[in-house]
Amino acid sequence: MVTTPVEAVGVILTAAHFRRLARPLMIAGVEIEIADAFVGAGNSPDLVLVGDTVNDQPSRLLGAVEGAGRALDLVGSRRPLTLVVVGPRPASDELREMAKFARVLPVGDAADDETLRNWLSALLPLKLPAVGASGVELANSELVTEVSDPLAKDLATAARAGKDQVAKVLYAAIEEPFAADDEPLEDEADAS
Amino acid sequence: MSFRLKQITIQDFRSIRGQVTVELNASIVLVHGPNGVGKTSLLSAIELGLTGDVAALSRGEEGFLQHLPHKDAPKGRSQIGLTAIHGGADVSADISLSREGVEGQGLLAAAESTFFSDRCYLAQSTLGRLLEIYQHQDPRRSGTPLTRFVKDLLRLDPLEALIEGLHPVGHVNRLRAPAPQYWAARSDLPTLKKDADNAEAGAAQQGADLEVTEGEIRDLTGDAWPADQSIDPALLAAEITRRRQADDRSLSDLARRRREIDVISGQVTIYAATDAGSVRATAEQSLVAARAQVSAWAEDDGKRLESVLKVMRSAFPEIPPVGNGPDTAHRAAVSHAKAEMTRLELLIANDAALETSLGEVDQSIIQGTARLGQIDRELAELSETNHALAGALAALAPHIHDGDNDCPVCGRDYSEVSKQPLAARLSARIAELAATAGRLEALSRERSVGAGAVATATRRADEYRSRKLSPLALAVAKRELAQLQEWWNELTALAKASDLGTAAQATLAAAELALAQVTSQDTALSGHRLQLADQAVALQLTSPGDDEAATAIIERLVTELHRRERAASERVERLFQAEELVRQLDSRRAALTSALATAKSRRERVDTLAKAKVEADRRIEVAKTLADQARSLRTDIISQVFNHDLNTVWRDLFIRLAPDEAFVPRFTLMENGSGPIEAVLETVYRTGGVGGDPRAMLSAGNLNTAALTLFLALHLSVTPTLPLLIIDDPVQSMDEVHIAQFAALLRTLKALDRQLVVAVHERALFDYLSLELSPAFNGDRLITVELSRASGGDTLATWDVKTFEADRAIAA
Repeated sequence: MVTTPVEAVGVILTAAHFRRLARPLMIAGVEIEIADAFVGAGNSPDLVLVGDTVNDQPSRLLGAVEGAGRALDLVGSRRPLTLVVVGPRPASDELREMAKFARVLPVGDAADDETLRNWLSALLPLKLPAVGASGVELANSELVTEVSDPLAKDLATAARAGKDQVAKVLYAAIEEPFAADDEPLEDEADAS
Repeated sequence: MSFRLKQITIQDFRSIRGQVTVELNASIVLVHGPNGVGKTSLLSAIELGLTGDVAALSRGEEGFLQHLPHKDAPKGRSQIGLTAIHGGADVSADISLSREGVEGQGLLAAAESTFFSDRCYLAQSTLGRLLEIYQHQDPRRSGTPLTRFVKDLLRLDPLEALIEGLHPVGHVNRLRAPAPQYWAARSDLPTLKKDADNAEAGAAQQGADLEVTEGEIRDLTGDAWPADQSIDPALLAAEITRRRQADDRSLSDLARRRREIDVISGQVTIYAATDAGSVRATAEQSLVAARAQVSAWAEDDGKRLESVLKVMRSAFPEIPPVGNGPDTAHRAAVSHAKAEMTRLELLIANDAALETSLGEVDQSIIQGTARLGQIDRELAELSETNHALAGALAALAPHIHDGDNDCPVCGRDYSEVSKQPLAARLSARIAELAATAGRLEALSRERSVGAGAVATATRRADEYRSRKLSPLALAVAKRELAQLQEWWNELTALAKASDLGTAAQATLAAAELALAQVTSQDTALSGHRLQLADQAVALQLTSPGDDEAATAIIERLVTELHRRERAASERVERLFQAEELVRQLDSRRAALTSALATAKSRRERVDTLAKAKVEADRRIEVAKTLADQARSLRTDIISQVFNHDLNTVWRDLFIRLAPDEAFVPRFTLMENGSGPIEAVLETVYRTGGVGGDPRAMLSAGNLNTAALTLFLALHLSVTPTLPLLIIDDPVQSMDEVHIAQFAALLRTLKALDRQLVVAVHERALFDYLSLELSPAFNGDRLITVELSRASGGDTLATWDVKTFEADRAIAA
């Protein structure tokens, strides 16, 4: 159970490939005052700072992000820096100033979980659906195997040639049982 | 499939003048250069090297090929050499391009080329029009490119073909025209089935009727046909005829017997009505009495009559004897006597009359003779010559003319004698002579007549005399008449007696007849009894006993005859009925056979048809099932792949770039039943609810974002046939927030093992991205390419490889 947006951000990020950095936050030996901080694990080098405008003035957040940026530059770090701003949204020019040093995600004060995720999604891995052409083909072949009748196979085969071919095969199949019926009819006619 | 671009060498292609070689072997290649130095040319060259074509450029542009080689290119020829690592090995393509066309093959096969053009390469010119392109409807083809893409993406064409091709099975009416035999079977089957049922029922009824009839025939004919054998109509008919004829004969025989018995019965009945004994006694008494009466009469009257008749028989021998009937004899005698008396009386009377007549004739003869004498005397006086003279004088007359009085004989003049003329004198003389001659002639005639009359009278007198009875004869006649008169008197006296005798004789005859009849009846009766006994024997009945009354025997016989006649008649009647039924048997059997054959053929026809229909129905059902499954599969695929997955990816990507945007774009598939699907773009409020077309709902920047993310989503939603993304300056109108997000997105894509080639024209952005996309682990590379122009105009491509550097900013 989280009670603050900072915590909520932490929950989302730690559920992804981020780990929380120890406090006080030290970047290249410089202490940065910030509400919370995360770093991407594995191949994700992102450094994420989380600031709360309820506790910190935008100027303090700007200072923090500027400090972090300079600290990174100092040691030649290429870690992308992101500032998540929770709480009341700072003014546009303040945000613009912050954006000079970091990707700024002003998630807003009354952000619900979904909005929060929307803002943070740039940091989160993209979940790709396990679909593709092979899946559709599999479905097609399943269709054919589910209906075991040879006619179904013929129709499925005909489907590759278009709907007219399907209709042609269908009519031929419907009419075919009656074809053998012709001869007795003529015989009867002859007999009578 | 592992695939990575390695290196490209370009010479005189589009904006690139001279030759440049660019290293591409990195997960991200960032290309920078001011506009016009050849960023897009570099990307186009990659496309050309991969596909052998420049699809992105060729879109809607005629004759584009001749503009591809750089205008300063020697011989107007471009050269492109592209190397890639494909499945762990290097592969290369060398393309030579001139105004005439492209020489050389791209690296990729056709399918991969298409994939590249559609899913991997987002040209700058395309990006701005992407949504428009996707939604543009080509009038010559059905569906928008988006729809086509969706179908291609989902490989729905076969499913659609299946669904649309199987559409007719959804409702049987749709099969009417295309499957006429099935339709006919479907509509005709109930009727045909009813026909077959009726035919079978009819045949069964005919069979049952026939059995009943054969049963009737067997009942009617009894043992004429063996019970355990099928009836042969011809043979049975012959047997029936034979039996019927036998019965007919038997009936005739019985009828004859009955007639005979009827006759006997009639007679016996009459006999039975009379008392045979008393009748005989009466008859015998009557006979005795009659005989006595006859005897008495014969002694008395009979004798007298006989004596008279005896005398008379001398004169009339034809008088019958008294024994033959007294009255007959009496009447004959009277008759004879009367006739003779009449004759004699007439004879005598005639003779007397003749005597009288004779006297009259004699008197007239005398008178006649006297007259003749008178005539003779006068005649003697009249000369015969007078007549001759008158003739001679008449002959003279012509010789005497008027006024001439000269006599022709003497010549003398008569006037001398008389004053009368000679002619008058002659005429008077002739007249005088003629008058005398007339009297003479008359007297002669008178004499002749008179003489005739006298002669006649004389002859009559002679006749009378000859006829006149001789006195003897007359005496005899008178005597005989007297005798007859006496007989007559006696006969008259005996008239009554004669009648009595006759009556007595008649009574006797009657009595004798009566007695004879009684005797005759007795004889007849015993004869009848014999006949009846014969009949009884013939009819094989108990022979009648002597004490059995004839009427009882008759009754017994008649009863038996009636019984037999009735039985025979009934038999004949039954045989007639049987004959009629047997006569129908052949035709009814033939009709039954025919009816059975008809029923069988109809049943077979119905069965065949029904079987075929069952099979056809089964096939329709299979098709239905298939169509249903195809539909449901399509729905599943659409819902899963399209509505859910693709929109999810798109939304995710879009939100990454535009977290602030209130609307999120998405696909909607207009799916109308079994018809084709149509893809459209729309927006939804993040908070729910449908917005409108993205082009109307989104800002220009976010519209661009929507297009970019749509492209990426489409790329990501299919199997990465080619794990390559080439994006040409996508961020021209993005604001800073978007740019920061875009960088994150590119990293995300890199994390998905896509090789990225991204061209940007903005220096700051290039720097920002260079930093942001730095390699994150060992082996990860970033290549940055700077395009510029040398003073001579040749294109310069400066590239740099950045490798991973361990981060020292944050303690691990």
